[in-house]
Amino acid sequence: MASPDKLLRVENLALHFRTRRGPVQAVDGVSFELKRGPATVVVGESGCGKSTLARAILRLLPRNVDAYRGHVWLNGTDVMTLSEEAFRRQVRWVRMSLVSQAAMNSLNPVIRIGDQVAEPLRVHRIATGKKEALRQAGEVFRLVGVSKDFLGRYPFELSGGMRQRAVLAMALITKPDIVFLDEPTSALDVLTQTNIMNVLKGIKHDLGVTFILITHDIATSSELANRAAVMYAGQLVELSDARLFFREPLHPYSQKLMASVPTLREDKKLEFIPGRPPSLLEPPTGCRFADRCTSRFGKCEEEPPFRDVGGDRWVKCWLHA
Amino acid sequence: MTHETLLSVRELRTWYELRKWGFFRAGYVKALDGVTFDLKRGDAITIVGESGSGKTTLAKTVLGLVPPTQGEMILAGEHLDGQKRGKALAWLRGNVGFVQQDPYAALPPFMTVDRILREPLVINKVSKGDQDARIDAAMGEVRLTPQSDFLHKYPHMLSGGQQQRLVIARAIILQPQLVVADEPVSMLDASVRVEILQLLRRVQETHGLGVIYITHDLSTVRYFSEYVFVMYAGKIVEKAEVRELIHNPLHPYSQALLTAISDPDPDNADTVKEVPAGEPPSLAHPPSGCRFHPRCKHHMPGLCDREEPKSFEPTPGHFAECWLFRQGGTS
Ligand SMILES: Nc1ncnc2c1ncn2[C@@H]1O[C@H](COP(=O)(O)OP(=O)(O)OP(=O)(O)O)[C@@H](O)[C@H]1O
Ligand SMILES: Nc1ncnc2c1ncn2[C@@H]1O[C@H](COP(=O)(O)OP(=O)(O)OP(=O)(O)O)[C@@H](O)[C@H]1O
Ligand SMILES: [Mg+2]
Ligand SMILES: [Mg+2]
Repeated sequence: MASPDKLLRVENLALHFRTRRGPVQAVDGVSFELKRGPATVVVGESGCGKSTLARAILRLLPRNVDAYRGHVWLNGTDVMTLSEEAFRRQVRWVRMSLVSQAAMNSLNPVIRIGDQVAEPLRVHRIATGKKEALRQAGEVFRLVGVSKDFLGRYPFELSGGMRQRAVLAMALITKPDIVFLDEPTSALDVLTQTNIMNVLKGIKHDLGVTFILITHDIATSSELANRAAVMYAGQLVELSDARLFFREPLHPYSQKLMASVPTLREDKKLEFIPGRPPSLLEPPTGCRFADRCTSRFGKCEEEPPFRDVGGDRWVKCWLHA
Repeated sequence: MTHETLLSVRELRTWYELRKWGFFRAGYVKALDGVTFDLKRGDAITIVGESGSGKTTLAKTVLGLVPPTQGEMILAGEHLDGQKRGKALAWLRGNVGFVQQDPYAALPPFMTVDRILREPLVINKVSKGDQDARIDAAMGEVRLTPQSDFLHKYPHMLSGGQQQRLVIARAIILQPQLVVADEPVSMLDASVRVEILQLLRRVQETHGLGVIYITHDLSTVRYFSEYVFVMYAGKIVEKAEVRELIHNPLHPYSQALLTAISDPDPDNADTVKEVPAGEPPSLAHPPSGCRFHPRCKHHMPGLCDREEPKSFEPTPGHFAECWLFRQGGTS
């Protein structure tokens, strides 16, 4: 089904949560594919479903799941059909890992950092023995720019930037193909953020890890982006080669979003988007952006397809269908 | 617009006491350590600095919410320190508005919009008839319109942008002379950030308000004010016009900051940026001399690590606290 050069292919993925007020369609009908190597950034505003998308692909589900369906092909295997046990043994953290949004603040305060970073090796029985595990932890520490001396320290002895590097090391230690990074630098100061982006660039280049970077910070996302994806109200509305996207986004929402990003060096008339995103409890049946869109027309009452418009670009908009 | 000084701050220090076992003094966090600046009536300035650099401490000190350890603050001719502090504070509350970082936390959840806006008026004994008119006007100004749609809503029924507009309405409802806005847009999405900044700017201009806009995001600065101060580790290290700072940053820290900030540009993915390693120092044990010297590539041993740099003015109106500019003469 999936073509061989595709590392990951997601088809019609949906994850809805049960709440007192009804199901929240946090991710609803997302499809995309990606090759090994190029980094994809997923941008979109708070609550549009970015973190939920990563969780759906990694099958990290909370208790209140209302619906969970779709296909996730990893190297040609639909991992959605695997049992939880098989998924845990073969996929999560082995092939795909995650630096979650709050990871650097959820390190265990009473366990030495080296042991925490090495933990995935023991859980997945990859390393034999504690000594070997720590040796490998030391190696990934070097990759992320932390001295081996830190292996024996506790989280509180590390600065924010060092803790973020440690959780990155934890996501890399099993040598996965894909690493999801959920807002990895948002809590850090600008210089530290830049240093960490430099580390990510180096790892992408040297190890060939395929990163999927989730962020609301569009300017910073361009530091890693080979491809850019835009989410709106639980759906992907655009996926594109980054060079094309940053120059000329195609979806009306992407255009407005880009026009609202301030630039330091060039003078630009900033715009904002009137109105607010629809509720995910009962999202509109047609295009979810329609009632804020200045290019809206009759057809927009129907849901547009997420269409390949050529040149590694997909857009979910009737203007491009 | 009259151009007299509205706020004058001299060598202001705010240190937090560190206590051991909740009792013994174990030292100080020098969150604000010798800050000097003037704000003219009707002007807007921006203070930019990274997390922990002391921005909120500066805001709270100016607002009278934390007492300064040392230094002088004069607002519209009133001294805000020393013996008369109690009286000065009461006066201050009516003359300075505050826009907080997290709009939701700033708004009492069980009060309606109407009550939230009415409360400061009641406390300041504004007559009942005037109250309604002021509420209507303030809501109009922040575009919470039609007013009747919002008056009976509770904060959780408003979007983040609307909540922040409500916080701004509350900050201006007593017609203050100065508004301090501490990261007013950092919790908001990009698509509404600009709207709130522009709105704040418009309110500032129509009322000739003095505004101190505090942010960690240098890229928003040029959309708000002409003048900017850069903070690092409890000190203002550079003061300049926004354009001048962007094109000709003097302090090595400002230079690093400008290098670090990305504009959305696909070429970024192919370049590695040279920025200093390390992280800002602990404010309980700041480095001696210049606080940036351990990370600075221009560090002059024997000088930068020993003596605190003075404020130099190498070009008119552009100040830097850095020994590299010592030939330029002090200010
Ligand atoms: N366990 C849950 N139960 C119910 N609703 C949830 C749950 N987790 C997330 N949601 C809702 O799903 C939507 C998408 O949330 P998600 O965390 O994926 O957004 P996000 O794009 O990552 O936002 P942010 O930028 O703020 O991190 C939101 O409306 C959120 O409130
Ligand atoms: N009440 C307090 N007691 C002790 N230390 C404090 C207190 N409030 C702040 N600090 C410390 O003072 C320093 C400056 O804090 P401040 O909140 O002013 O920084 P900031 O620039 O506003 O940071 P941010 O961008 O994170 O809001 C920090 O090191 C902080 O931990
Ligand atoms: Mg998220
Ligand atoms: Mg603050």
